[in-house]
Amino acid sequence: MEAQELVNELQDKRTQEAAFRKLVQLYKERLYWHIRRIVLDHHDTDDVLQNTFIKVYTNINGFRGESSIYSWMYRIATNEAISFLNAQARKNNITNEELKSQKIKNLRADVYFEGDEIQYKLQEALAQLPEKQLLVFNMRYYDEMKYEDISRILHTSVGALKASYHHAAKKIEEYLKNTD
Amino acid sequence: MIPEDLNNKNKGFKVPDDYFRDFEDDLLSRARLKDSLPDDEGFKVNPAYWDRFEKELFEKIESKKSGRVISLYKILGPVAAAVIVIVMTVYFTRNDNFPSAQDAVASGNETESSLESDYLDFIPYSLLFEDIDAQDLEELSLTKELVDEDAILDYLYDNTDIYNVVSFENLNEN
Repeated sequence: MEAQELVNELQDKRTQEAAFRKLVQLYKERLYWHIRRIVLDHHDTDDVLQNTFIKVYTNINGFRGESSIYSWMYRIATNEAISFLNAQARKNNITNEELKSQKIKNLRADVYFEGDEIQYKLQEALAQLPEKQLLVFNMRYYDEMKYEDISRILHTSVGALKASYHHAAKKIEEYLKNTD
Repeated sequence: MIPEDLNNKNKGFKVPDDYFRDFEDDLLSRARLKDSLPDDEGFKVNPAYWDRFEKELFEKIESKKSGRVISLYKILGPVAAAVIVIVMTVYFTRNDNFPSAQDAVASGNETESSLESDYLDFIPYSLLFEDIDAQDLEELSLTKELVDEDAILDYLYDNTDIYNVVSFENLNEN
């Protein structure tokens, strides 16, 4: 189904429900992994993913079609994941950096993480990155998104994104080399 | 003889500026990362999760929808009743041929109580006893800080429906 057709159906009260189900089926896994790479924990990811789709559902009439529906949802998911982490840090009265390192430590005991030492180190390396570099790296390396699409989602110039990606890649390489 | 322009086989096609330089940089960076990064990140998901996710999501949306009906009714019920009472009062007090203002108010009250009794069916029982009295108001005015900032931020995060854009330009770039 054409993306535009799906958007039209989503904005029409009579077809909205069925179209939304299609949308969830199509994108739930991709958005799940995007969120999971930011919040790390499965249960937190589940919460954020549900909130993301609820926001998509309640705001679909405000979607103006300037970007693709996927970019729009991706942006909502990114915002939701970051807001979720900020809220968690606030609730626990700790900084975002402290929250990150807590989350990395928790991975050791997480039943939904079965990474070996190198995979654990990769998560440590990613946790060292500033938020924006992490987002750019995930979108470019794991999701293989075009810089132009990332630019629309993060509202940042392509040039700045390229610089962020290369900084991030370098830091990760160095971290993994130095902790060998 | 072939015109000079047509000798250039790529004529008409364009690539973004710096494409080939960026392509090389990107390729090399990706190749280096592929060597040092594990193929898999180690995260796991129970396969049954995906079906459960959809079920829970649609249940949440349903309950949100029914929640909205109640809140809209809660707001519109009393407002509609008040408007009817005012309009009828003004109309009937200006026209002597029609029933008196008291009659109109009584009729308005009837409408109001009928609307109210309908709308009360939607309100949880406990909410009926939550009227604020003078003592509550006094206590509120004595409280210096009603809600702290974190609570407001948490509330906005949990309850904001309109999608607010986080400015990524402000994120730390170090």
